[in-house]
Amino acid sequence: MSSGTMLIWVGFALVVGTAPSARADGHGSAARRADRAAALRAYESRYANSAKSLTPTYARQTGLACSACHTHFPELTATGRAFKLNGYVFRRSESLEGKTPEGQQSLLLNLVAPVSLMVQTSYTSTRKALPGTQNGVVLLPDQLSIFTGGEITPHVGGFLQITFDPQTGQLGVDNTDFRFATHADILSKHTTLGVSLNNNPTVQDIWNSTPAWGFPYGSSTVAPAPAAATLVDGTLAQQVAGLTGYAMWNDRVYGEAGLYRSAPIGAKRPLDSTAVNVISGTVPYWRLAFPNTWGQNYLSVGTYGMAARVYPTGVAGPTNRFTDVAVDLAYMHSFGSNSFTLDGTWIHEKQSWTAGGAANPTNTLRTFRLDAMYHIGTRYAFTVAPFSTTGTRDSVLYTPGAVTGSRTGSPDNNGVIAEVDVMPWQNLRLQFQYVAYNKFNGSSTNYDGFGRRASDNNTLYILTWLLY
Amino acid sequence: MRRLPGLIGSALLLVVGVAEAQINPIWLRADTAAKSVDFKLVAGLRDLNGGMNFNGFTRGGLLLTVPQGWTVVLQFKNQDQNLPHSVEVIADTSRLPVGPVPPAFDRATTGKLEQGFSAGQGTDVRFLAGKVGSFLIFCAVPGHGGAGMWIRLSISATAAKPTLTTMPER
Repeated sequence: MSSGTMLIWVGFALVVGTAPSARADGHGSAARRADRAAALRAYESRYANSAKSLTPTYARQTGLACSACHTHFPELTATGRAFKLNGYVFRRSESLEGKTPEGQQSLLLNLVAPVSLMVQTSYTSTRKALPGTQNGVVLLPDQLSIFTGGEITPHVGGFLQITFDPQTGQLGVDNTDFRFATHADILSKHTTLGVSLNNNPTVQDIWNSTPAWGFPYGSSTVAPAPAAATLVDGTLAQQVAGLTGYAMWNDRVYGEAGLYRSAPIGAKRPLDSTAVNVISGTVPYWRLAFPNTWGQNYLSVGTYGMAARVYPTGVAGPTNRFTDVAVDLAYMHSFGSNSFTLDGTWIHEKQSWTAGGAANPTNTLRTFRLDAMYHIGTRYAFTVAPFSTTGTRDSVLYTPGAVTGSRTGSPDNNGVIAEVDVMPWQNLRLQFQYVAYNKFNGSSTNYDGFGRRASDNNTLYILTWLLY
Repeated sequence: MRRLPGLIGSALLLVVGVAEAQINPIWLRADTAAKSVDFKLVAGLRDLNGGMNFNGFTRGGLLLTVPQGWTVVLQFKNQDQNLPHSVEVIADTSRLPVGPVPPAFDRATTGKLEQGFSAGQGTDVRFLAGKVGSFLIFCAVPGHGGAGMWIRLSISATAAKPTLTTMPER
């Protein structure tokens, strides 16, 4: 596509108002979900599938502009973190209140319908076209999502995303987080206590340094993506249901623990011998974070992780074990109306292939991501985000194959994402993203065994992202 | 069955009224000899405006008047269970800022302006009311002040002692 054509397209997209690749979490399509399930052994990359979202539903409920809760959606401010932590129940809009004859409150309904819509339109161009395909892919829509949620009762609220994937034509449940929250004094300090029911480990997290709501917030679903991903890094999204309990003590210590169990969307129930990658029993999940504020600075450092035993096929027999341990940080410095944010995570996964499926009995996989973002008011954001994955070579897990394969059997990849975002309105984003790979599936040159270079997958991704 | 609509009607009540905010005399304590005034400033004292209020007042509904030259101590505490809040004294303006701006007086802020103080937390803000004029006591957590979380401060050359009065909201 010529630059002139591209500019015309961008202008058209601006008028139409659509945006990036989608998935309010990048896990929108059933096909992609199936791929993810299959990928407990290795595959999937947040860089290929990330698209996160927020919802004007909450703006309508709270009467606050998007910028009160987001520096740059979906990145949360202090107000946004507090809103989520407290169960999405903060409200300033009018409500219908019901009481029993004894005067006890029995109903509290928001008079504003808790529904909003996200439309994304995108243009993707890789440095070298995929073999036999047309380069310069336009998706209209790239993703279409309906959000609902907010306050259900004074202590219960939620977030539910329904996503239409235009590539499969299917509509499905995307990220989900329903929670109960209350307050207590513990050791004479204010403490928020809560329970979250969700379908994606870390989707309930209030920081943008963990996988579900981490950068990139929108990325191409049609460009090649590195093969390997750890379990906690989106592989279980929409494949599990989990219940976690959390506590934030004195705004200084956050702890959370819970269990996840297989609940794949679109699969026949009960799960039986035809199922794949079913979790044996439950998966423990844990999270600990220590936020602090000084001057114009905010910093949270933390750790999270999970450990799973997975049946390669069926629901009985030997299992493979995956243990993920991660650290993360979220930093923000304010410069008046401008701000600088830094989010990063490092994930270490130990894999034990007792049930087979890999060449080695044990493997490791390590993922590092960091994004530095400078926000000019609410209108512009500039981001640089290096990323890296390294791991054990395994000729069974990472096999040669055109574009998506690995000639060397290595999962290694690294590169950097540069992004400029323009938001003429708080609910309309134009995203210009370039992903540059130094190494892809193990090599810089001929990485797939079919002569493709890592840099051939460098991707220009232009997105319009509209929420209303 | 005829009673059912009545029961449903009595069970579903639309709340239309909000209790009137009142000034509590204990909020203000003046020391004329020392020319110092302590003002208990409570964020989220009531549910009004989703908790985004100071002492139950919003949009300039409360006016603190202080004689020029006095020392003002804002004893700030956040009682809002849901949201963090902060305080700074800013120049009066019809175009409320989205977030923090330079304060009108030296040290007339709580600090942690963007992040705010969570429930149960607070701090004292001490500054010299050195110049006459109209000012706002403003929550600088982004979006909160613009949503109405501010009250008024008047530094007067003629007032003999500090006072608290209600005002029409803007």
